[in-house]
This record gives sequence, structure tokens and C-alpha cells, in this order.
Amino acid sequence: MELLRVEDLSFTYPTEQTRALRHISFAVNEGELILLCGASGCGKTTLLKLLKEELAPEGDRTGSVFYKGKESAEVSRRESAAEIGFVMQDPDSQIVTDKVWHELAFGLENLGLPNDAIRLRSAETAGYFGISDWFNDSTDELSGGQKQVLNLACVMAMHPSLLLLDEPTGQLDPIAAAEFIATVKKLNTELGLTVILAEHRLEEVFPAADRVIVMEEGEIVSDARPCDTPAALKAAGRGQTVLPGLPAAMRLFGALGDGGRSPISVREGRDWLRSRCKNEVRSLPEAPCADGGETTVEVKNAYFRYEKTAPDVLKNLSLRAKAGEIFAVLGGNGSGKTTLLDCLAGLQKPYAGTIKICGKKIKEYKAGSMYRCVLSYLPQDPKTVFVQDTLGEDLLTLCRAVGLTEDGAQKTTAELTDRFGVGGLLHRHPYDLSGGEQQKAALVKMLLSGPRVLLMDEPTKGMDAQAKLTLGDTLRELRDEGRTVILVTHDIEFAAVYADRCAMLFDGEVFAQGTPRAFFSDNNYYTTAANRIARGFYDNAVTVEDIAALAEANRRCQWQNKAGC
Amino acid sequence: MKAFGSYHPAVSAVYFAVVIVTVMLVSDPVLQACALLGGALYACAVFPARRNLKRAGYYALFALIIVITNPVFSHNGATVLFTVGKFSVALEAFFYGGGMAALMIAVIVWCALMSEVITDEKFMYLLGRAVPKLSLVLSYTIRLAPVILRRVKRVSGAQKTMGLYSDEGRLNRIRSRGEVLRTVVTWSLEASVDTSLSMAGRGYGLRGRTNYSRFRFRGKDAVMLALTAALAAVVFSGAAKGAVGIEYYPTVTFAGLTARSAPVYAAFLILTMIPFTVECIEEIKWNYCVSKI
Repeated sequence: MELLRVEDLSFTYPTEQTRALRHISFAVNEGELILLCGASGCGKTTLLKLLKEELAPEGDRTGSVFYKGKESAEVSRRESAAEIGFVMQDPDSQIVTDKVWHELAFGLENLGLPNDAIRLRSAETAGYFGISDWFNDSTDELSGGQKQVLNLACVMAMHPSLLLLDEPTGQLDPIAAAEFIATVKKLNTELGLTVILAEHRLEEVFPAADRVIVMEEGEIVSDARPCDTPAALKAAGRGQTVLPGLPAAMRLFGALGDGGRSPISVREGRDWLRSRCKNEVRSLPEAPCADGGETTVEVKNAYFRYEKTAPDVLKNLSLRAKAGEIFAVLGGNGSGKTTLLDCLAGLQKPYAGTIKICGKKIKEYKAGSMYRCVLSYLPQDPKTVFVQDTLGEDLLTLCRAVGLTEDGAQKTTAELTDRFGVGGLLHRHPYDLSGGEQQKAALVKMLLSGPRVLLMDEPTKGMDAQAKLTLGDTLRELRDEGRTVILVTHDIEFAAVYADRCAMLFDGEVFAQGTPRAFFSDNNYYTTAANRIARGFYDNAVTVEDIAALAEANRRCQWQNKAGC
Repeated sequence: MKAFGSYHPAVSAVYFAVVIVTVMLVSDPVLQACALLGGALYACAVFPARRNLKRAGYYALFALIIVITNPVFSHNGATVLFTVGKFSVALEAFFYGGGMAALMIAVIVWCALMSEVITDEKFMYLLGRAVPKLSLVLSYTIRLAPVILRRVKRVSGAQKTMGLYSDEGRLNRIRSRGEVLRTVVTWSLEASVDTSLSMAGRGYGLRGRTNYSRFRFRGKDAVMLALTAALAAVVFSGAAKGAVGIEYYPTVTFAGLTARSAPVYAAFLILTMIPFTVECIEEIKWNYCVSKI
């Protein structure tokens, strides 16, 4: 049965010239799980918000949305609140109350349910979502993944029949994200809940979806089953922005494919690879490790804990990074990644061991001189970076603080803003920029002082595939200028492609350091999807490009053999 | 273990209000002794012994200071013990000091016990019954406070590592604090847009909102409330008729145990012993259950 129908919906924000949505039409049947994907700013969020009347933004709207056959204006607020659930990206800002049990009850209170009904519903919801253990906790004590599960549970406690999810895993680490997606899938299969899910991270979501709607610049460019999506995009000649974010198996199909049905999951990818390709050549030649760069960051046997009685967060940690290298520190939540960066940046001090930056101990740098020309630290949230009313003013203040002359400041600022394409944004308030622009502006601010060492905390968080490519290229440029880039990240796929060396942090210790190829091909679980596809077939392929290169090498080899005969 | 804490918040609130108001308004050594005894016994049951010993030490010191210093300020007593210069030191002043100290300590002890029994959640519930909107606002505020503190820390850390705010000097420091604070306010306002959307999305503002509470008014709550009310009636009516009370100046006048005051004393003793008794009964019951297993 049809649950939702969108007919020729167009939308323009009051201050914008171009339309955010253009002639959107689609229908959703009961029980479907629909994946909505597209680059940041393609209109996914606007579309989702327009589907729930209370959240609909102000603006010029044409066309109509029908929910259960009624036009959206006729759906009562009570019905909409209870039946259409909405979960947003930021786990933190959606939580209203201070206690988990109260948060679960919040929506039910709004609906005016009696005490006993709320007691029962919040109890059964908590049980289903595995919240029982932290039911009495403060919402502030939860991890990001727990917060997002709570947000989902709060909405589900109201027994909705349509669930709208707007990049719900954007701020989560891969494990929490996979758990969240599994929960959504479970709701869909066990309860027949209809779900529309907007996502950037497609690896886990694609196999779970019934249909994939791809959006680009406010338009739907394809609406097809997951396995037909690449073909549909190709036929439409659109969707270049989504292609790099597709699951590894699909990208592999795109790189080697010769028609037919595309594999989606890792398992299908494995079967497909084995049926199509040979593996006489099993491994790629190991690129010689660029040696001899000057050591810029050196940590020796560092120990750190936040309080005297607390357990060690960093234990006997040693690592070394060189000039002209991208060094990625990987690790799960709570493994001490951010603490490590804080220590490297001098915001925290290890109680034992030494940290040398460019050959000098941190404490030997006087009065913040380390933050001029030596080291700069980009925190996770670009919002923490800007303190002035316009971007231009913000950059200028920093120029003065690091002691650039007026001329020098203008020249450096102009150079950097042009390079990152934010020159036109100098008069804007930093918070009015889009996420991607904020990230670029933050990079500019970071580079103003001309640091030799760049520290970055989760730079790819919440980014779409295209933005990741751009960031990766930028990091490579910075590396080629001879800087050291140290990033801590959950993003295995990103590290595998762009890092020169990877290290794994677990329980406060560094366990393995090596080139991505050596590092990931030794891992069985903590590795890229491409590596999982190639495992047992090719030896050291960690990216889709690696597999494609090996397949090509085998094809050539086969051809030569034939010629030899 | 806090068996007395398992009663409905309204019952606990009424109970503590009766005890604390009586101690504060009726000056009578026997009532004060009852309050101190009941409070001390209950404290032994709910707080660790170390804490109790430490507190007892503080209270003793506090009482000593009041008893010693009171004669310096009041000179109304009739029984002059000795004179220092112009001032005469009277025996009544020491008694008065003792009475004052007992009153203050009893109030402090009972307030500490109250905050132990009436937890934040119960307090919010009571407040929510009185002013429904306020309790939600408070809950939101409590939730936001640590978030904002974390943001302040992160913004100032970020600025420092980018090369700002390294100069010493008070003026610079004040200015940078101001900038950080402004950023955090802007950031928090941005985030609150999401919060209000999340509230609207979950039907906030619909007619007929209820206030959920996890507390149920059960039979034992009714019994406890009735008992408290009955005892309070005896104590208050007796106190209103002047059956109890002490005068310190010019000479100590205290009726002691009389036919009129005895019921009041008895009622208040029972009242103050309730928490400890409840705790003991629970303990015995528990041990009995365990021994049966």
C-alpha cells in the first residue's frame, strides 16, 4: 500500500536565487527501506524536512506531499508527531532532557499519554533498543552512538509508521554506525517500518535498501534498485558525485565491469571477482618507503592519565613521524586518539615520557611559540575554530597574533584563500558557511602561521565522498610541500588511500605501524572493504584501485601467455 | 540502603518540612534533643561511618564556638558569673548559645538528610507538579550545562593551538575569554535550533501535555502520610498552645516534662525516629529473607 507520495515538489529558500528542490516526484510503499543519497547540499535534508510538516522550512513551495492519501497540510500535528519519526545528524543537539528515561518519555508526554501508558511504552522501547543498562543514566554521560540510538528509540516509542533519518550516522564511528544501521534494518524487517534514510556512508546501507534514490542539485537523477543504480546513473549521465562513495564491490564493478548485474555486498563482490578475474599475479610490487625525511614528531614512552586515580589513557606510547608524510592514527572510540593529539599539541601533558616536535621538547617552546610556524591543530568540529564575526576578520586577527606585518598578512591570506577557493567568503559569518566551506576556511586558518606539523582530528567526519577526495588531494599537496600531516581517524577507507603510514592505537598503545598496504593486508577485521573482497585471492590489495590494477596485470599476463603459446 | 527514600516524593517532602519547621520555630531543648537523636541515628544508617565521625567533629567544634562566643554578644542574663571590664558574663548566655547551636546543627543535619532522600529527580518531579513548564526548562538547563562547559574548553583549546591567545597580560586574557564565550553562545544557539526542531518533531506544544513521573502513590505512602500528619497535628497544636518551649532571659524558664508537654514530646520523638525505624525494619526483613534462602 502506498504510504507517501511526493508530486512535482519544488522548493526555494527565501534568501536564495536557485531552487533547492526541483520537480521531485516519487512514491513510497509501506514497509520499504529507501536510501536517499547525494552530495552535501543536494537537497536531501530539505526534502526530508518537507515530508514532515512541523519541520518544513520557510520558503516558496510548489507541488504536494501526500501522507496516507491526505495532503500534508491536512495531516494533523498530532498525527504527524506520532506517525512520522525524524532523526537528525547531530546526536547531541536533539536530546532535550537530562535523563535517559525522561528523554524516552518526552514525546509521549507531548502526546498526552497517561502515566501508566508512558511507563509501559518506555520500558518496552528501552528493552528493544538495549537501553536497559543505561536507562537511569544522565544523557550527558552517553557515547555518541548511544545518544543516536536513544534519539531513534525516543522517536520509535511514539510508534511511528514512517521513519525519516537524515544522515544519522554522520557523527558516529564505523562500529557505532554499523550497529545503528543494523538496528534500522531490524526495525524495517521485524516491524515492517517504512524508512527513508539519507546517508553518505553507503557500504553498509546499500545492501540493506530496497530502493536507492540519487539526488543531484535538487533533482532526482535515479530511482532504482541498489543493483541497478550504477546502470541507471550511467543511462541518465548524472550522479558523478555519488560514484566515489558507492560500496567497494560496486566501484570494482564500475572499474572492471562489462555489463550484467552489479555486486553490492562484500560477499557478492568476492564471488564476482573470483568468477571474472585470474590471480596468477597475486600481489602488487611494494612501493619503496620514502626514507630519509627529517623526523618532526617523536614520542617516546609516553604515559598519560586525566586524573591521578584514573586509568592510563596512553601507555608506553612511542611513535615517529617524518617531514613530507601523511601519518594516520587509526583506532576505535575511547582508544585515546584525541588524547594523543591533545598531547602532541601541548594541550595535555604526559606524566612520563617525552614528546619532541621538530627536535625540541614541547616545554622548551616559550609562550606559545610552538604554535607559530611549527605546529597547528585542527579540532574535530570546525565550529571551534572561528571566533570573529566574519571570516576575513578572523583570519586577520590570527595574522596579527602570529606576528605577520600588515602587507605580509594580506599576501598570505590572499594566497591561501585563493588556493582553497574561499576568497569570496571573507565577508561572511563563519557559521553561515556550509560544512565543506567551514572545513576549507579552517584549513586556511590553520596554515596561516605556516606550520610544519599539522594535526587533524577526524577530518573526514560527516563528509560526502567528493569532499573526501578533495580533502585527500589537499593533504597530499601539503605533504609534498614537506609538511608532516598527522591525522587521527576512524575512516579506514580514507587512510588506506591517502596515508603514507598508518598506526593502530588500541587501549592507549600503538600496536602496528606501516604502509597502508602492509598494515591493512595483515588485518582481517579492521581493514577496508576492498581488502575484504580481495582477501585470499590477491595478497596486498587494499583499495579498489589496487584490485583493478591486479586484475589488469593478470589480464595482460594471460594475454602474454597466450601469445607465448 | 535507603528504605525511607522509597516513599513517594510528596510524602518525603511533607515529612522533612514538618521536622525542619518544628525545629526552626519551636525553641525547646527536648524537641532539639529528639531531632538530633533521630537525625544522628538515621545518618548512621545512610551515610558511611567515616563521614559521620568527621561531621560530628565539625558540629562539636561549631557548637563550642557558638556557646563560647554568645556571651560576648548578649548580656541579658540574670545570673552573672563574672565580669570582664564593662561586660558581665551570664550563665543564661551559655545556655542560650547551647540552644542556638542545637537548633542550627539539627537543621543542618536534617537538611543534609533531606537532600539525600529527595534526589534531583524527586525534586524535579515536585517542581513539575507545581510549575509544569519550569521543570522541563530546568531539565534542559541541567543537560546543557556540561555541554557548554565542554564547548568552552574546546574553543579555547582550538584557538590556542592555532596561535592565538598566547600572549600573557590580563587585558588580552579577558578579551580572549570574551571572544570564546561569544563563539560558544553562537554555537549553542545554532545547536538549539536543532533541539527545537527535535522538540517540534516529537509533538512539543500539542494540547494536553502530561508530566510523566516514575513515582507511584502506594498504600504505604498513604500510611506514612497519615502518620506524619497525625503526629504533626499533635506537635503543632501543642506548640501553638504554648505547651512546650523555653525562655533563656533573664533567667532560664523551662517547664520540663508536664502533662501538657508530654504528648508533644512523645509525638515528636516518634516522628524523628521514623526514618531510622523504617531503615531498621527493612534491614531485619532483608536479613530474615536472606536467612530463609
